[in-house]
Amino acid sequence: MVGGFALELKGREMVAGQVALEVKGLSMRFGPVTALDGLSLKIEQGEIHGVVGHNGSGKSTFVEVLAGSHVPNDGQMELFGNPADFPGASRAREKYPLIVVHQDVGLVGSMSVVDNFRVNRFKRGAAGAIRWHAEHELTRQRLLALGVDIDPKTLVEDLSSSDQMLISVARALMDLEEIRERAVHKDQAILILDEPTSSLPSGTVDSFLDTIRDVNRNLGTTVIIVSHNPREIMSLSHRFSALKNGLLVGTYVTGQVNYPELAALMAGQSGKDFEASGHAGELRSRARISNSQEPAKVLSVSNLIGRRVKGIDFEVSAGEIVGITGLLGSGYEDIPYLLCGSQARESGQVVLKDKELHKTNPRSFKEAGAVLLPGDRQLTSGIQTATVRENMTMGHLSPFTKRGLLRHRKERHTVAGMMGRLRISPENPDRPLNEFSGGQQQKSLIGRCLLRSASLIVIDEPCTGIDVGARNEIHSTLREITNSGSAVVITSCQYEELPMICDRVVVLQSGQVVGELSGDEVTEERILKLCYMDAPQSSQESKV
Amino acid sequence: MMKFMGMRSETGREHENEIQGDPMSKPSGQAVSPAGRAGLTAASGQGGQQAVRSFLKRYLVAILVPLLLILFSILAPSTFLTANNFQTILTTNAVLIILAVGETIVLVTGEFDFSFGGTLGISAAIVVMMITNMHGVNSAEAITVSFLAALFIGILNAFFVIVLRVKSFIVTLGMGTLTTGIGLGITGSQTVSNPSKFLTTVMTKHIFGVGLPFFYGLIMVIGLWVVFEFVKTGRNMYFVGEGRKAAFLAGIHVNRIRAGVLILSSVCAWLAGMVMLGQTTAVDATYGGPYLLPVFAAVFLGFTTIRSGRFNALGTFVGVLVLAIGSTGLEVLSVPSWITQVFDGGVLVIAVALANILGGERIDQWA
Repeated sequence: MVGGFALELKGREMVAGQVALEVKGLSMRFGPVTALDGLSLKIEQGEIHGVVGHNGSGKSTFVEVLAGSHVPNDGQMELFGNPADFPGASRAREKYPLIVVHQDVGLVGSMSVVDNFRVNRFKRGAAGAIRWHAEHELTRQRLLALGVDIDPKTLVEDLSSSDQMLISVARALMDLEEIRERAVHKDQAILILDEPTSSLPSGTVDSFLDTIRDVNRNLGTTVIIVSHNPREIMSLSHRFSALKNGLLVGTYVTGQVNYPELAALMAGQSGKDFEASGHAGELRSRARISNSQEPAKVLSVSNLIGRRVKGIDFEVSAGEIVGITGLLGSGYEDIPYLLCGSQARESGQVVLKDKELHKTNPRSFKEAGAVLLPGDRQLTSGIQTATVRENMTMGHLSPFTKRGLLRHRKERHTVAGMMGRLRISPENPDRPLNEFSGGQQQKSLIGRCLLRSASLIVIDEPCTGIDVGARNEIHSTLREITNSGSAVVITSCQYEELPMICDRVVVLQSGQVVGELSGDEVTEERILKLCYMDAPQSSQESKV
Repeated sequence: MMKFMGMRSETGREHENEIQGDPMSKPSGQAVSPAGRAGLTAASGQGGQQAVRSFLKRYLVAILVPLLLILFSILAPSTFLTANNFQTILTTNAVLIILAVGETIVLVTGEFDFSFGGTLGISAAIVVMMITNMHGVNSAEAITVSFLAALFIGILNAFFVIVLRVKSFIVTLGMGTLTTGIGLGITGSQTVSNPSKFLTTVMTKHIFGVGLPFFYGLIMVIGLWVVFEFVKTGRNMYFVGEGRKAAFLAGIHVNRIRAGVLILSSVCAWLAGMVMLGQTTAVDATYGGPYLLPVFAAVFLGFTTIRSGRFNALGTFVGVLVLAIGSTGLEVLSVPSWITQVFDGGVLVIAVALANILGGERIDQWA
C-alpha cells in the first residue's frame, strides 16, 4: 500500500524530502471562537497525508484556509519551498496548484451535471456557441472513469449525495490535469479532500480510495485527506496529523500507529480514555442478556408500500435497537418518513403499541407516543439559528407551559441538565445550534428524544459526519433509552456502525426485505453481503 | 439580511405532505457555520472589543432613537422639542405601528404580506360607502361588514398560499392591487369623507395628549412580545420561518400557523383602516399604498435590533419610532418633502448593512 519514502520515516521526525506545504503559526478566529490557534504543520511532497481530530479541532477550518475561503488572522504558508500568501478563494485557484474538494461538495444544485462540471471551461465552436454534444460526451467519460453512470443533463439536486461527491472529485481531477499541463514541475500539485467518503455507501468507498491512491502513485500528486473514519486513514495515508483545539497534537507515520491509538487521537482523547468508553459491542451484548424475557411488542409494520418501498413487514420490541439498512436507493431511507407519515403511504398497516396509526402526519405520530429524529441537521431535524434550548424542546413545550405561558426558567434548567448528561459543551442552553460542532449538535437533537418518554424512537442516520467520541456517546445514550423500555429504530447506511449498536438489522433491496440479522449475526460483512446479494429484480437506483 | 431573503425565496415551494429525508437532499456531512465548525475555544484578549461589537449590533438601531431625538432637538429646539410635537408623532404613527405588527407575524413565519395597503383601503371604503349610500346602516354594522371583508381577504390569501401552494409573495402582491382596485370601484375613485361619528370619536380620544390609536398599537406590540416570548405558538411561528421541514416533522401545525398569520395580518390592516378613517376626515382607497415601504422598513429595522437576527415585537416598535422621529424631524426642519422618502429608504439600507458589518458573522470572502 505504502509506496515511496513515507515508510522510512521514524516517529515524528521529518524527512529531508521536499516539503509540499508548510504552514506556520496559522491562527483563525471567528468572533469569540478560535478555530486555529497557531497551527504549524508540514506536508511532504508525494505523500498522502491524513488530517484527523474530533469535531471542532480545526480540521475543516484548516482546509478552508488552504482553499482561500478564509483568510487567517495570522500565520505563514509555503508551497513547494516558495512563500505563498492568502489571496482569497477565486485568486487562490489561479495562483496555486491546490485543488480542494469541499465537504459540502460545492456544486450548484439547480444546474445540470455538465454545467457544474464544465463551468468556465466550455469549449466553444463557431460564433462562440457552446458545443454541447462534445461537452456532454466529455463529462460522461470523466464520470464513468469514477464509476458514475449518469446523464450529464441531470440536475445535481436530483442526484444522491454520493454521486454529487464523485462529481466533485471528477471535477477536481480535471482541474489537476489542467494544472499539470501548465506546470513546469508536473508533480507539484496538492489535492485536498475534506471528508470525501462520509456520504459514500461503504461498498463504493474502496474503489474510491483506489482512485485516490492511483492519482497519488501515478501522477505524484500530494494528497491531503481530512477524515472521520479511522479505517480510511489507516488504509490510505502514509502519515497523518492529529489536531486538537486548533493545534497540532502530532504528526505520525501511519504504519507505526495501531487502530485504537488512532481512534483515540481522532476522538481527541488520550489512549486510556478511549479504552474506558465506547465499546459499543459490549453495550449491545449486555443489553441482550437483560432483555432475555419475552419483551412487549412496540411497533409492528405489515405490507408497507410507498414510492420506493414495495411491501415490507417488520416488528420492533421494547428494549430493542433495530437497524434498517440497504444500499442507497433501496428504500430503507424512506422508512422513517413512511412511518411518521410525512411521506405518503400507498398502503400498509402501522401498529404502535396495539393502536393502529391511520392518520398519516408527523403530528399524529408524535401524539401516539413516538419520536422521529430526521437525518439532516441542516434542514430536517435541527433549526440552526435557534438555540439549543429551543431545538431540544421543539414540538414538546407542554411540560414547560403553565396556564398557557412558557416557564423559561424550568425549560432552561431541564435543557441544561440534559446538556450535562449528554456532555454537550459549552453547557449554555441559549447558544444557537450553529455555534456547536456537528457532534454536539447531534447530541443536542438526541436530547430532544430523551426529554420525551416515548415508546418508540426513530432516528435517521444518527451518526453521520460526527467523530468517534460523539458517536460512542450517542450509542451509549441510545442504549440507555432502550434500557428504560423504549424501542429504537435506526436507519443508516453506515454499515460498520450498525453492528456496534443494533440488536437486529433488517436489510432492504429494491424496496423489499432481503434478510434479517440478529445477535452475533450482525456484522458488517453479513450486512454488506445482504446488501449486494443478487436482487430479485435489479433496480435502477441501487447501482450507486 | 441577504441570507435571510434567500432563505425565504424557497417558501411555498415544498410539498409538505411529501417531505422526506431523502438522502439526495442531504448535504454531505456538516456544513456548519464557520463558528460552529471551528470549535468552541473562546478567544482570549478580545473579549472587550467583542462585547462592544455585539452590543452595537444588538442596539445600533435602538440607539438611533435617542440620537435622532437629540439631533432634531438641537436643530429645531422651538418646534421639534415640544410636548405637542411628540404627542403628534405618536398619534399619527398609530397606523404604521398596527400595520408593522401585522407584518411582523407574517415575516416571522417566512411568508410575506403585500396586501395590507389594499385591505386597509377597501375596509375604509366599505364603511364610508355603506353609511353614506345605504339607508339605516349604522356605524357598527358597516364596521362589522368591513371586518368580515378583511377576514375574507385574509382567508383568500391563505387559501391560495396553502391549498394552491402559490408563493405568498405573489398572492399578496396581486391581492393588494386587486383590493385597491375594488376599493376604488366602491368609492368611484373619489376621495370620500368619513360619515362615521362613532369612529371619529373612538379614534380621536386622547390620553396624555396622545391619540387613543397609539395605545391600541402599543397594546398590540406588548401582546406580540408576550406571544413571541411566552406562548408556545409564538415559538412555533419562529420555527416555521426558520426551518419549515424540521418544524413539520416535529409535529408542529405548520400550515395552520401560516394560514393564521395571513388572516391575522389582514385583520391588522382592517384595524389600521378604521384608525385612519377615524383620524382623518376623508379617505381614498389608495391611502394604504404609501405604507408599503415604511412598514417593511420598520419590521426589517426591528429584525436587526433588540433580538437581532429575529423578527421581534420590540424591534418592530423601535423601527417604527426611528422612521416616525426621522420623518417628523425632517418635516419640522421644513426640508422638501422628497427628503422623507430618501430618509425612509436610506435608513433601511444603511442600518441593516451596518448591523451586518458589526455582526461580523460572515467573513467568508464570497459573502
